[in-house]
Amino acid sequence: MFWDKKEQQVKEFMKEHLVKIKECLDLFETTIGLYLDGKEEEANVSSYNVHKKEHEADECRRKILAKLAEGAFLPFFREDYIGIVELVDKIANRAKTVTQTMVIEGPKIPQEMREDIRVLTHKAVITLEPLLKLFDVPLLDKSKSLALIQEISTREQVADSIEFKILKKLFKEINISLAEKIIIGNLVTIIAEVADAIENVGDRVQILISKQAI
Amino acid sequence: MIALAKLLGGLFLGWGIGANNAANMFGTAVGTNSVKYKTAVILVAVFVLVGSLVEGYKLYDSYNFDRSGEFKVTFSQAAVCTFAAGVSIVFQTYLGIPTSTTQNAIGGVMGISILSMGMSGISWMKLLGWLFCWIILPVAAGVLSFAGMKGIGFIIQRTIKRMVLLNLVYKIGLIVCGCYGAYAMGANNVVVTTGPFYQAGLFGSQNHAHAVLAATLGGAAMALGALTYGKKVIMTVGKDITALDPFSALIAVLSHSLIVHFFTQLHVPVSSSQAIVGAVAGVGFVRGMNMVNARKLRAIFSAWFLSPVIAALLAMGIAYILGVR
Repeated sequence: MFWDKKEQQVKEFMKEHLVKIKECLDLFETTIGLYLDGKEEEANVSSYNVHKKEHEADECRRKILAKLAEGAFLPFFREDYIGIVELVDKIANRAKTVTQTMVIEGPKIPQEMREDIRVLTHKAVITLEPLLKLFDVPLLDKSKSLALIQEISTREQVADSIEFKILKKLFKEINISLAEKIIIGNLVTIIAEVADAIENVGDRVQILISKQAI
Repeated sequence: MIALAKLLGGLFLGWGIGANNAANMFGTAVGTNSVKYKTAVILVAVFVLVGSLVEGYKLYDSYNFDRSGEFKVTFSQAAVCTFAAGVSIVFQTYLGIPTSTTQNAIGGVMGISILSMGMSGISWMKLLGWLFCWIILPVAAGVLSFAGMKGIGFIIQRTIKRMVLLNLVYKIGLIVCGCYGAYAMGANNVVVTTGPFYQAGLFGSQNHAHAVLAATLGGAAMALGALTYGKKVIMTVGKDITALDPFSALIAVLSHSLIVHFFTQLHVPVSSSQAIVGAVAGVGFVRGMNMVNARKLRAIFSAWFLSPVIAALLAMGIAYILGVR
C-alpha cells in the first residue's frame, strides 16, 4: 500500500537483518566447534566467514536506518525501531568479537572444559530462536510476544548459569596458570554475552510493546 | 468601496484565526512527519474554507445581542467592532494577558450593542448562555477526550496487532482529524470575521445565500491566514500537542473538533484553542500526566471574562471618539 510502503520495507529489511544474524551465529558456533576440535586453521577461515557475515548484517542495518531516516514510522515509534536494530546488530558484533579473540589469542582450552564451552556456545546461539519467532508474530499480540520475550530471558539465564559453572570450574578445579585462566575466562564471558545481547533485543521490544498500552 | 475597506478589519481577524489556529489541528501531524508543512497548511486552508462554506452560515443570523430584534448595526459600527477586537488583542498581548480572538470579537459586538441600545437593550440571557457554553467547552472537550482514550483505545488494542498497521492508522487518523478540526474551526469561527458586516447588510438582506457569501469571504481570509502565516506558528503553537504520543494527539484533536462542531450546531461561536486545552487535559488525565498548568488556566479564565470586557470597552471608546452611533 502507498501509505505504508516505507514501513513494509523496514519490516522486510529487518527480517533480512535477522537472517544474517542467524547465519552469523551458525558460523560462530561452527568456528568455536572447529577450534575446540583442534582444527585451528579451519577455525581461522571460519572466523573470517563470521566477520564477512557480520559485515553483511551491518549493510542490512544501514539499509534499515536509511529507510527510517526517510520517514518510515512516526518518530514516536521510529526511535524504538532504531534502538532495536542497533541492538540486533550488536549480536553479530559480539559473535565476531568472540571468534576474533579466540583465533588471535589462541588459548589452550583444557580437554575437560571443551565440552562445557561447546554447550555454552550452543545455548547462547539457541537464545536467538524465540527472537526470530518474535519478529514473525504480530508484535502487539501481547500474549504471544511477551511469552517469546520470556522464553528469550529463560534461555539467557540457562547460558548464564552454564557460564558461572564453567568459570567456577576453571578457577577452582583446572590446573593451569592464572594468565591462561584469565584468557579462557574472558573467552567464556564473551561467549555468554552473545546471549545477553539477544536478551537486550527482547527487552527493547518489550519497551516498544509497553508504550502502546492505552 | 468604503464599506469594503471597513470589511478589512473583519478579514484581518479571520487571517489571524487562520494563522494561529492551524497549529491546533496539524501541529502533531507535522511534528510527527505524517504530513509536510506545506501540505498541512494547504489542508487547513482548504478545510477551513469548506467548513465556512458548508456550515459557517449557521451562526450569522444569531450573531448579535439585540433583545428586541429591531436594532440594525451600521457598517461603521461593524467596522468598529472588528477593529476594537483587533486592538484589544494587540493591547492584551502587549500587557502579557493571554487572549482569544473569538471572545475579543464577541466583546466588540457587545460593546457596540451596549453603546447603541443601552444596557436594557442587551439580551443578557443570551450573553450568559454563551458564557456558559464557553465554560462548558473545555470541560466537555476533556470529558470527550477521556471517553475517546478509553473507548477508541479499547477498540484499537483489541483489533490492531501489527505495528505497521497501527502506525498507518495513526498516520491517517492524524491527517483526517486535522482536516475535520480545520473544518469545524472554519464552520464555527468564521462568523467573527464577517458576521458584524452581514448584520449591517453589507452582503444584502439577511438570508441564507448572503450568509453563505459572507461566510465564504471570511473563510477565505482564514484560509489565507493559514497559508501565509500558519507555517510559522504551526510548531510553536502546536508544541503542547506534539509532546503527546500519536494516539493521545489524535484523540485530543478529534475531541476538539467534535466539540467545536457541536457548538456550531448550537449557533455559539467558541474558542478553538480553549477546546484543545480541555481535550489535552482529558488525555493527560488518562495518561496520568498533568498537561494543563496554571498559566493555561489563567489564560482560559482571562479569555472568558477579561477579553470580552476589554474589547467591549475599547469598542465603546473607539465608537465614542469617532462619533459612531
